[in-house]
Amino acid sequence: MNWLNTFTPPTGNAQRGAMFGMDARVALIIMAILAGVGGYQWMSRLEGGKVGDAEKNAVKITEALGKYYETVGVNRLPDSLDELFRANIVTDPALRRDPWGNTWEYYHNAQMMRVEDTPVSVQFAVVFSRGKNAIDDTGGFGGLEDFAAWEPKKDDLGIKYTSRKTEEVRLKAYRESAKLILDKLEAAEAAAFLEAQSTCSEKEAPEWCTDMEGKNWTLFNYYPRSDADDTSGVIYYNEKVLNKKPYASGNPDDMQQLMMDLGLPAAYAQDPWGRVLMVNSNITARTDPPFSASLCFSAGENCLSRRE
Amino acid sequence: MSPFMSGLLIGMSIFSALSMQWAKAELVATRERQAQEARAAAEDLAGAMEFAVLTENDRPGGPDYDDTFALKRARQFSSATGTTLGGNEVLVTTRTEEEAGMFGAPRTQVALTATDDILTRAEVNRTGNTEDLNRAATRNAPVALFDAGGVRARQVVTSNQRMEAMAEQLYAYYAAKMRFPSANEFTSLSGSLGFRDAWGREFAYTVDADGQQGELEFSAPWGVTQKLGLSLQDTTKSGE
Repeated sequence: MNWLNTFTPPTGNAQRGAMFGMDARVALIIMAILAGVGGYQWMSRLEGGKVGDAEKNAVKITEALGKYYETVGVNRLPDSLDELFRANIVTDPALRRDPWGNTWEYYHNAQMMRVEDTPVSVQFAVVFSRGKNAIDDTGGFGGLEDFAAWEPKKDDLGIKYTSRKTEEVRLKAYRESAKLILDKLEAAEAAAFLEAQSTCSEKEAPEWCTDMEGKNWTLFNYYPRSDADDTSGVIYYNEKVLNKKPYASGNPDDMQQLMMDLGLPAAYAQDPWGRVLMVNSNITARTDPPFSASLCFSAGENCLSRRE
Repeated sequence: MSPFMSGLLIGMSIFSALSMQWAKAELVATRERQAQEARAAAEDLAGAMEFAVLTENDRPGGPDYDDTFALKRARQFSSATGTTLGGNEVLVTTRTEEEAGMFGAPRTQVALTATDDILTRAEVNRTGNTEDLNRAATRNAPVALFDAGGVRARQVVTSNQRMEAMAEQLYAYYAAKMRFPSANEFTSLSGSLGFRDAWGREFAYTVDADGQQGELEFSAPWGVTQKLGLSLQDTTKSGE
């Protein structure tokens, strides 16, 4: 309180008494009010800071969920938030608990749907803090309508997560890669046909040009054979002439090999949702040309059979 | 007034003035952040509305075609809650032109207004047509637009591409058998190939008695039909 002394003469009782006179009293009252208001503001800011931190951290966790889904889970969200730490997606230990020291609430779900009739698996989740009272006032969600209506209640703080944006990106990549694979299959078919044509136009053409199980070279199927075609009576150039074994449709190794043989990256054997490529080299089950190949990506089902 | 009191008052005045400056700056920054958040929420909801429209599907379990654009549809695919800071619902304003757009699709624009600001909400609400709505969205940051007519047209384009791919297969069939498939043969072929329109429906197919001319078609849910003529003489595509 040196500043009070500045106004205090070194001697004289009457003047010393003035120090506790009106000025000092007013100053003390103002200081007390300021201290009170300041203290209240400080406490509010402290609590507000916790609320802000909870909101920011919930956003960070949902961003991490997105990263997990895109890189680790591929077609699933983690069962618990601990998986985010185990996968090193989240490294900040402060995110393990909310600013009040409680664990985060986390609910998730997935739904298969069709976007312009292309099957897509969409992920939904909510992450929230139970707030200062540590009571879960909000709860999770069941179906899509529940998710739509979900928002934090009372002092709970949190955010929704949906993989929509990731699915939009994946859908685009899926369509591009599927088209590329089809183009490459057609190019491979055309190249094989031209190769056979060239061989069979030579003077001393091999026997298979005129008779391979009763068919000449113009009646062969020039697509790389997949075991999804069980039509009898089809002569595959790759199999019968080049002695290549059929690719096992839906088998990850064989599908990767097929992609490499077509001049594509092996990764194309899976779609962005981790589904494995299935190819049928004779989808219309014909015995004579023209032949049609078809492809799809399967999560275990026979996606080549579309009749529903 | 004593020097002490004068000093105290001057000190307090300076402190108050500085505090006010700081508070003003803080308020501007907060308002800017809130406007950005509102804009982001509106845009996210607009993107989610588009996604919701694209998930319409006639297969079992798929959401049916719906030409209403309720906030609930967008909230299904958005991380935004659809509620403004003040607790109001995001305002969804739909304007449709009388004249149909591409492929006969309704020329509908949907604005999503994610602010509590009464003037902005009133301005958007007062718009009479899609042009006004566009202008209001351009002027106000927390308003995002969803072009429903454009998305509907895209669904028809996708369906047309698939119908053309189906037609290619029918021509391949013709090349082998010198005729287009019969109705029964088409059903089997279509089941194997799996080509469907954007709503998951198989294409309708008709063929004449000798299999020399046929037609593929699909109808958009708003009643417009797209047809593709199949003939070696002439291939035509038409819309009704």
